[in-house]
Amino acid sequence: MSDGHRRAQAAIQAILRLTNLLMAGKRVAVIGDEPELAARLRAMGAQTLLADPAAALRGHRVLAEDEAVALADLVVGATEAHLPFLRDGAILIPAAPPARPSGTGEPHETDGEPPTGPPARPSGTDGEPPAGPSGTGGGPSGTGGVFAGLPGVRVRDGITGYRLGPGREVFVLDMSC
Amino acid sequence: MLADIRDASLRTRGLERIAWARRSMPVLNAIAGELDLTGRTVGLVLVLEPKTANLALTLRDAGADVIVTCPASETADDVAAALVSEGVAVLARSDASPERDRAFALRMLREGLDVLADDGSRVVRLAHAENLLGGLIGAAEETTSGLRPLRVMADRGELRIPVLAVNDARSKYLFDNVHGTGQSCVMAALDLTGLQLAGAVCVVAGYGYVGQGVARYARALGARVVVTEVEPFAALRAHHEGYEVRPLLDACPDADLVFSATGVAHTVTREHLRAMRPGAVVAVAGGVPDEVEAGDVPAGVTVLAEGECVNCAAAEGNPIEIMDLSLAVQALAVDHLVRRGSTMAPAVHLLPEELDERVARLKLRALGIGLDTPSARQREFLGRGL
Ligand SMILES: NC(=O)c1ccc[n+]([C@@H]2O[C@H](COP(=O)([O-])OP(=O)(O)OC[C@H]3O[C@@H](n4cnc5c(N)ncnc54)[C@H](O)[C@@H]3O)[C@@H](O)[C@H]2O)c1
Repeated sequence: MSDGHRRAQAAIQAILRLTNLLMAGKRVAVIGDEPELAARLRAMGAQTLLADPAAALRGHRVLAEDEAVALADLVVGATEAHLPFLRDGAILIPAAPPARPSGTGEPHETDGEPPTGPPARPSGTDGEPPAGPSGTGGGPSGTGGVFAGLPGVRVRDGITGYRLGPGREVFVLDMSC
Repeated sequence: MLADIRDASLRTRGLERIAWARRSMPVLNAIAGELDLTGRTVGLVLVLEPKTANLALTLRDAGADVIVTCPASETADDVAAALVSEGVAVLARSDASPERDRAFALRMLREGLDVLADDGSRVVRLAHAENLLGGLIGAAEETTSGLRPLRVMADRGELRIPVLAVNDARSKYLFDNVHGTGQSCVMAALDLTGLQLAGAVCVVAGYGYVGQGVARYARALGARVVVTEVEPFAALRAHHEGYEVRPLLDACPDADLVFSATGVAHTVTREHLRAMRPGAVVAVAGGVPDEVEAGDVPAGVTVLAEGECVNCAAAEGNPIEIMDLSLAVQALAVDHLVRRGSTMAPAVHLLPEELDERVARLKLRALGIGLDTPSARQREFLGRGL
């Protein structure tokens, strides 16, 4: 069996197990070249949003990447570049971090006890989305690449919430859970 | 307050899961403010997990004293602990024996319920058998297999309270039985086994609402799906929807994964299990006792979750958005019984059409989906009857 099919099923299993949500009717932006995943999601009833014009012939909706991300309930393959566009409540599956030499950079630790007090906001953002956090230290949790430097709040097992500004909170899935 | 749970220290994790579910339950949120259950005692016997916990909290906020009980195999101890910390009475633990589960149900009934929300009609039937109906105004029943015995009782003149058929509301069965149960049973089986569905053969026994959903999601993930049926229209429907339709015994040797979606005991028999090849996996999406004869399973064949319904016993149950619809129906059914139950005959009743439609419209509104309305010319056309 092709690796794409294996990855597609594994990703769908992880998303649905971590969130307990329904795939049918979700707007899902699929970033990157994952045709098997996009096809499976579409077959499960998701409204898939892809940037590749040829995807229209396979029943996906074609949109520029920022527009797709701005509409999406779920972004598969999210990166730092998408942060300014995300809607409140969006759920992110980070792009797999690029392979790095071992022993460098620990991921931002967000698991464990919830912090006391209200979740911290990224400093200097008042209504504006953050200007893209600095640092690209991705890690095994898969969240560091997108949100290195932003304080996350544990939501439930495998889900971390991030406040991007007033009334805008997004959720990152830890696909290794 | 009544409380018999396994471990109160699990409450934080339970509260997290309840709060996460709440985010995706707009319909229950929308109707919460309209319920008035002041001074009423409501018993809940639904699968004890984060979504049903939100129903318990909603009924409590509407003024009810809520008592929750649930069989061991469908009890999440962290959610039970969270509910107790929120002041809801809970008699449910994942380590309870069947005798203790029965004792919990009897204790709940002896508290004197006004309304009961049941799943599988286990407690409604128990209340009849033990003469514990007391002041019970009526019950709401969640599922297909729970309604069947109640209709038999009604036909024999043995049903002594009105029952609202929550399952038969369209905003329940068109989505919960098909999409919720379909997605969650297929995903639970994959999570438990690690099976790759692409290229696998998946046999679905029963092509009712649940079977249609299971077949659809198994096919979406790349399986070749074979359907088995006893009813000619259901079989033809499966055929026209592109599935192979064959007798179960004939399909067993090809199967990698078999679902029973009938809700009828003895659907998958020992003979069927013996016809399967080593490595085959069997799962129940219906959920009545002995749906799969899991007594002595031949070597090499696996029956998931000991033959209990696989999404409830071995995963987090139906998806949150789907349970939002089903539990909104439950909440409206409980409220309707409180208001009108004393005027209703002891029979199985459908939920009033306007309540069912209200749930569907609230869901559409939450999704931001607009509808067209028939124009004056269209209404005139329809009125002409031509
Ligand atoms: N697991 C869950 O979360 C969940 C959710 C909803 C319903 N259910 C249960 O699922 C079961 C099915 O519900 P439904 O709404 O689909 O009912 P249904 O009546 O629509 O479907 C049952 C189908 O099974 C067929 N059938 C009966 N005996 C059969 C046999 N021996 N072989 C093949 N087919 C057979 C019937 O002809 C019918 O088409 C019920 O027990 C219901 O309570 C479970």
